Amino acid sequence: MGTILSTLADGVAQTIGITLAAFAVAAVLGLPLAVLRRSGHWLVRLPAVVVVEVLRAVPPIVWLFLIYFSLGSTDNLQLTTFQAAVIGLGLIYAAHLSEAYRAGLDAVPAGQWEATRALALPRTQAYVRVILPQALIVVIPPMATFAIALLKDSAIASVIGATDITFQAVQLTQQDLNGLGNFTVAGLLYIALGIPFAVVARGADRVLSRRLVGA
Amino acid sequence: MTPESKPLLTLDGVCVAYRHQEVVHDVSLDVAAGEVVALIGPSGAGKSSLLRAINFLEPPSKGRILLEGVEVGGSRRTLDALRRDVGMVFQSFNLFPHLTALQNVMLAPEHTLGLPREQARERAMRQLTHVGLAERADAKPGKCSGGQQQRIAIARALAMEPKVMLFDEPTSALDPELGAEVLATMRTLAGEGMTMVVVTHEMHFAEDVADRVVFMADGHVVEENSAGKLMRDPQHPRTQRFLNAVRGR
Amino acid sequence: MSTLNEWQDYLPDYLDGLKVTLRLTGVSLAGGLPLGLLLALAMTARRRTVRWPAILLVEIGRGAPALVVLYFVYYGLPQLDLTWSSFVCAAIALGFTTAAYTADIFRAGINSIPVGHREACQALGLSHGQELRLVVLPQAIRVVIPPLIGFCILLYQGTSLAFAVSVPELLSRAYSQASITYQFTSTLVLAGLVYAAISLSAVALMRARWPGRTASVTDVEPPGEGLARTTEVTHAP
Repeated sequence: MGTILSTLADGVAQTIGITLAAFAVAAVLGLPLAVLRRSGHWLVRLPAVVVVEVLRAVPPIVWLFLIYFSLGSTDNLQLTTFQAAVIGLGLIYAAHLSEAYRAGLDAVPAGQWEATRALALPRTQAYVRVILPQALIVVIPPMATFAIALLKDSAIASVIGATDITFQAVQLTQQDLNGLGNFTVAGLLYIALGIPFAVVARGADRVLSRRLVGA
Repeated sequence: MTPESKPLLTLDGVCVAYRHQEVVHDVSLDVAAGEVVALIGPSGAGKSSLLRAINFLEPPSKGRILLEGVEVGGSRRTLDALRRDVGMVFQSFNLFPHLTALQNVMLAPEHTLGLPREQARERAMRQLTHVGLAERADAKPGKCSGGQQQRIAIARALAMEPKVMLFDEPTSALDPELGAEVLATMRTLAGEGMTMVVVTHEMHFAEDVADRVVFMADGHVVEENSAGKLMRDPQHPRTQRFLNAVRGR
Repeated sequence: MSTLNEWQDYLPDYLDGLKVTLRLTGVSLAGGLPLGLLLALAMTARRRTVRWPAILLVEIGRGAPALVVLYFVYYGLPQLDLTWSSFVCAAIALGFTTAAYTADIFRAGINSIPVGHREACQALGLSHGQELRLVVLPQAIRVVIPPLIGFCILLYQGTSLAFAVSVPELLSRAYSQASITYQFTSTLVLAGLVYAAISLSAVALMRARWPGRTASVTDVEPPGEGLARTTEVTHAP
C-alpha cells in the first residue's frame, strides 16, 4: 500500500494540474457561451447552441484524440499531452458550465431585470452589478459538481499519455502485475481528491437553502 | 355513553414525542360506537399528532391504544387489524396521482383485504356512489376539484369498511365552498352511525355534528364535554379564550 | 472530396464498430439498471445494515473514474482468477458504473414521492412491498425516465473508454484506421460525427417527448443536498 501510494503520488500533481487548468478554461469560456445563449436574437444564439451541443455530443476521449493527434501534431503546432488534455477538457466543460451559468442567470427573478431597465442601467452594468452577484451563489453547487466530474474525466488524459494518477497505475501494474491493489488505491485517491469540491458544494447548498427559507 | 357499553376505541395515557420532545401529554379518551368526537384547539396543540398516533403513523411514545378492548401495537397482527379497522382522511388528501379515482378506492380492498378484483371494483364503485362521485370514477385525481379529491379520499378509506374514521383537518386545504361539500359528506356519514374522530377548525361542524368535543392546548386535553355544552358554555378560561377568538368576538 | 472518399472506405468498418458500441451500451444497461434499482431500494431502506453497504457501493461507483473501474476489472480481477474477454470486462465495469449512477437517479425518484402517499398506504394497511410496487415505483418511474435517458446517452459515449482495453468498438476502429493511414483528422472526425449523430438524435427525441423537462444531454438540476447527494450531471465515465 505504501509503495503503491508513493508511485501513484507522482501522478497526483498532473491530475490536479489538468483538473484545475481545464476548470479555469471552462469557467472563463462558459460565461460568454451562457450569455450568448440567452440573447434575444437567434443569430447570436444559434452559434452558441451549436458549439455547446456539439461539444457535448462527442465523447471526451474522441476530443482529446482529435486535439492531440490531429490539431496538435502539425508542423506549426506541437501540443504536449498536458496542453491537449487541458484544452479538450476545458472546452467540453465550458459547454457544461455554460448550462449551469444559464440556470443561475435564469434563477434571478425577472423583476431584477426590469428594475435595471427602469433605472436605465447599461446591459453590462446590469449583468456585473445586479445579475451576476445574485446568480453566483446559485451556480456554485453545480459548478463544484462539475469540478468533481472533471476530476474523474481527467483520467482519460492517461490514454493520450499524460502522466497522471491513472497513467502511473497502469505503468506500475505492467511491472508488478498487482492491478487489484494499484487501481483500488487509484480509485480511492480520486475519491479523496474530490472531497474538497464536495465540501464547497455542501456549504453553498446550505447558504442557499437558508436564503430560500428566509425569503 | 352508558357505563355498561364497552368503548370501541380507547386511548389510555397516550403521549407522543418527536425527536425526544413530547408534543402530546398523557391523553386518555374513550370513543363509543357511533359517536362523533371533534378535536379542537389552536394549531400546535397536538391534535393532529394525537390522531396520527391512533393508527400508529406516529407510534405513541407512552400509553396504550385499544380497539374493541384489544391493545394495539404489540404485534404486527394487531397493527394490521388496526389499520384495517381504522380509516384515515388526510388534510392534503394524499390520493395516488397515477391511479384513477376508482383505482385509488379499490387499491386497498384488493391488496390489503385480498378481495377478487371484481368484488373490489364493485365495493369501490359503491363507495364512490356513496360520496356522490360515481361519474368521476375514471378521472385521475389531478382532474378533480379539491372537494372532489377529498371525497374520493373519504371513499377510499370507507372502502375498507372501517369501524372508525379519523379525519385530520379534512377541509383546511380547501376553499370554504369546496370544504362545504366535504362537510356535507361527513355529516351524512355521521348520520349513518359511523364512529368518527375529527380534528377540525370548523366550529359549526363541531357544534352541529359532533356528539362530544375535546379541546386541546399545548399537548393537553384542557376540557371535554358534550358538543352543546362545551361550545355554548365552556368552563375553562383557556377554552373560552379560544372560542371567543375563533368566533371573532 | 478526397475526405468523403476516405470516409466511404472507412464506413463499413465503423458500422461494425458501432454495433459493438451499441451492444456494449445495451449489455451495460441490462445489467446496471436492475442493480441500480436494487441499490436505490437498499439506500432508502430503514435498516442501517442494508442502507450503508449500498451507499458505500454507490459512492465508490460515482466517485472513482469509470476508466479506473475498467482497469480494476481488466487488470485486477484476474488476480482472483476472474478472467474474461475485454468486452465482458468493459460490460462489467460500465454496468457497475451504470448501477451506481442510476441508483442515485432512482433514489431521487423514490424520494420525490410525497411522504403523505406513504402514510396513506400505511393507513390503508398495505405492506411495505405493496406500497413500493403499487404506489411508489409507478410514480417514481415517470420522474426518473428523462434523467435515465440522459444517462443512457452518456453511457453510449462512455463506451468509448473500452478503447483502452482494446474492445473493437467505434473509437478503436477509427484509431486502427488512423494508425494504418496516418489520417488522424479524417478518421477521428468521422468517428466524432457518428457519436454525435446518435447522441444528438437521442437528445432531440427526448426534448420532443419531454419539452422543458431537460435542458440538454446533461440536465443541470437545482442544487441538491450536498456531499454524496449533490446531483451528478456530467459524463458518467
